[in-house]
Amino acid sequence: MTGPVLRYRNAGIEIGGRSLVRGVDLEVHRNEIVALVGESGSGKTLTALSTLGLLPPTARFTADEAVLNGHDLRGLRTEGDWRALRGSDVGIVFQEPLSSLNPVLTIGDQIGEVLRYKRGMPRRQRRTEAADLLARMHLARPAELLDEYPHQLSGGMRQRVMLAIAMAGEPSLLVADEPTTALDNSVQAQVLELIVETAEQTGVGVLFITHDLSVVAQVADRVAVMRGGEILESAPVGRLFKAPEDDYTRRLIRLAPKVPAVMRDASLAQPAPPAPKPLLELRGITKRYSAGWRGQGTLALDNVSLMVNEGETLGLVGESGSGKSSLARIVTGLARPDSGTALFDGRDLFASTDNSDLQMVFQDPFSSLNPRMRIGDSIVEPLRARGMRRGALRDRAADLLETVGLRSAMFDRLPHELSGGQRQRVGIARALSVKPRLLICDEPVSALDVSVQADILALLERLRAEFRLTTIFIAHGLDSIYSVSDRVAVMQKGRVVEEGPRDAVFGAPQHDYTRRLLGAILDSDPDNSRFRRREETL
Amino acid sequence: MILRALGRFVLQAVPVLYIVSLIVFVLVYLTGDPTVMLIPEDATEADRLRLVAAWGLDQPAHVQYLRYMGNLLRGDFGQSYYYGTSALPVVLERLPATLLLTAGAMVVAIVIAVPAGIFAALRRNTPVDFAVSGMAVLSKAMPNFWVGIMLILIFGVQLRLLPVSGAGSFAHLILPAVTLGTAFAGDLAKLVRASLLEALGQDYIRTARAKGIPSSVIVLKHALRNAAIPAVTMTSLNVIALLGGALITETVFAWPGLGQLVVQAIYTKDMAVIQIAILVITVMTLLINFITDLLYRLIDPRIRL
Repeated sequence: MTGPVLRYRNAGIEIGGRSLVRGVDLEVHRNEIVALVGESGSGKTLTALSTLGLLPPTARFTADEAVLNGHDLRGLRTEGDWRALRGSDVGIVFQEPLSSLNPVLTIGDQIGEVLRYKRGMPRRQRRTEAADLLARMHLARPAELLDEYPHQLSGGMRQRVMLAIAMAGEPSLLVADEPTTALDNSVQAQVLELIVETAEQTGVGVLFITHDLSVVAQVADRVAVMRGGEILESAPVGRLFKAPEDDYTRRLIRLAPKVPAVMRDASLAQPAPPAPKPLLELRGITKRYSAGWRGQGTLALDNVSLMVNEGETLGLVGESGSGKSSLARIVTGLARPDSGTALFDGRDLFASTDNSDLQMVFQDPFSSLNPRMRIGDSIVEPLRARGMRRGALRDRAADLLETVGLRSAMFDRLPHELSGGQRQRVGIARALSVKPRLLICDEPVSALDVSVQADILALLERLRAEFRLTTIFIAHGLDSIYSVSDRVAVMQKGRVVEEGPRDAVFGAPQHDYTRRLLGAILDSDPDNSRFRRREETL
Repeated sequence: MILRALGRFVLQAVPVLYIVSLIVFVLVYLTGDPTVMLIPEDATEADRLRLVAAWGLDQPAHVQYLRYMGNLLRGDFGQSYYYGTSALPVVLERLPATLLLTAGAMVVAIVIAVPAGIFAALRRNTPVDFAVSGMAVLSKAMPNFWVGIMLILIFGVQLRLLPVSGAGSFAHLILPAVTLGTAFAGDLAKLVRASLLEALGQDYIRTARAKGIPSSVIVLKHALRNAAIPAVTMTSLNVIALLGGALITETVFAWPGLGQLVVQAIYTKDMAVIQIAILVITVMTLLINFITDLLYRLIDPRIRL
């Protein structure tokens, strides 16, 4: 076939009279990966869902032209109309593989029903074909996987299964909606590679939705940048990164994760600042979560010893389940260790009842604020508990709000009236209210948009100097760790496997696991793509 | 898996049965001396005391308790004063009727409620949905005895289609089962509707739609199974409630179930019968809980036994 598999001209989406997507022109050809980049609210996901008719029932889709694989999408009204196209002409991979797979049906069943209804295969053939699909997604022991359930698989495996489901109907267009956002870094690279490989082998056109420009640089052939429901700029990937035309695109590219130079040239390493004295010393911290009667439980922390020096920022890296958050909970007194000691400024941390010197900023600013509590009250609640009087509380809250870059008039707002970035600022203000000496930031920016992330990181940097804070910065994103840390500790399966000055860890990693993690950093430079060989068509 | 569940069931059943038997003993002990009621009016005090001694009622409580437990463990469940026979067969004789009525009522409830709940969920906020909600409220609002009497009037007296009392044939089962079943159907239908709506809003339903498979498959295979756990819980609780006897319905239809027997035993202070009935109902409750656990595991592979 010669024409594009998907062509939108002047496409728009309205929900409840509000125009959320306008004037979108889009083309995806066979064996081409087109990235649709944007932050939350840009309309990229709505645009993606519109190709499958999965928009909310109240949404209205309009276009001068909307053709998928030769079918005019504008005439499709009912679920029945769309059913003929879904699966066989267009498949989709969603962001969150666990919730997107049915928990009570086997993997074989979930792939098999596409083969049954889309390709009319008899039962026995379905089984061999499903196993074959899993094998093509580089899943080991595919035949056994057919009888397993999603909860028995790892995140990366689940996303491979999702891809197998999406490809089972041999579609011409594959929509990938943030397919690696919920995955660990090292797994992300594998899944991206698989998507690129799938496009090359089957010739499927891919519409790749993402907020991450390093992912775009690695996989895309062409890029469309979306903001506020419109496409700002659209170009082949090389040209977009080298000569962006729009200011917003330029800003996104500037903020995109980059491989630190020290990783290419270890001689660039700067010496670590001298450490005056340790503020927090952890020795042999062990924590096991029990799995009930006779259960072995999981060893969340295995004999962890760690030191944080006064005034420094310690970056704590590791993939999900490595024990980073468990450690944070123990240091802040939210959980008790099974064994081990902790000295804070020379005194026994676990014996003291007042841990207000150690405060925490949480990952999710949405769920960590009480939705019914005015934000001013949230901020000064720790002070009220300490008996501060009402008038003084209000002044202090106003102070704190301004310190974190919010207007003091926001005191009476409720959390849902704030944006994600504003909420995280509130979380930081709350942590600062009791004047802590050690601030523990548990993935403080990973729930936020790229441009907001930069603002919050800059705020933390400023506050660190202003309040002379010592910081433990927990993240799975290595680029943010690199930008904030003085020293870095790498955790794997409950253990600290490497610890040292930042540039030493990044420039000359000693442990295999650190090398693997660093190897998974994606570079926001399309010329350094390790997945895609492309003939640049400028 | 089954073995482990079975092991846990036994570990659960032993202490529960022990505690229940202890409670039963205490209750009987507290109700006082049964001989007063049982001896003929012209018997002398000496006669009564002989009876007390013969039954060991003059012994201290802990001795009586040990003998009671010893008898239980040997399978001797005592004599029914009222029937003059061993108490166990008296109770067991009623069990099939109770089981049959319970099963019949549940079949009626499920056959009505599941389709009604599904339709209400799929036609949310339409007249169909409102009609189902209305019927559900109505089924709860109408008292059992009234529904039973109305059914008797219509199908027994007017139409002469079905027998109105007693047991013995499938036809006998219909009216009492419908009376009880419709009472449960309302709540069950509302629960099926709510759980199905919840399941239909999940991400995996969006995935199923994106596959382009028929809507019936999406609802019946993908959503309904995920929505089934609460309905199974409610049904099992209803079954347990019914096993204790459905007194009103049994009375209206002269159905020879456990409910009638227990009430009669209470009136006549037939303690052996009450004890056995309570123990039998306890065993049945444990069994139903065991079966419910197995069903959970069958429905949702994430649940570990």
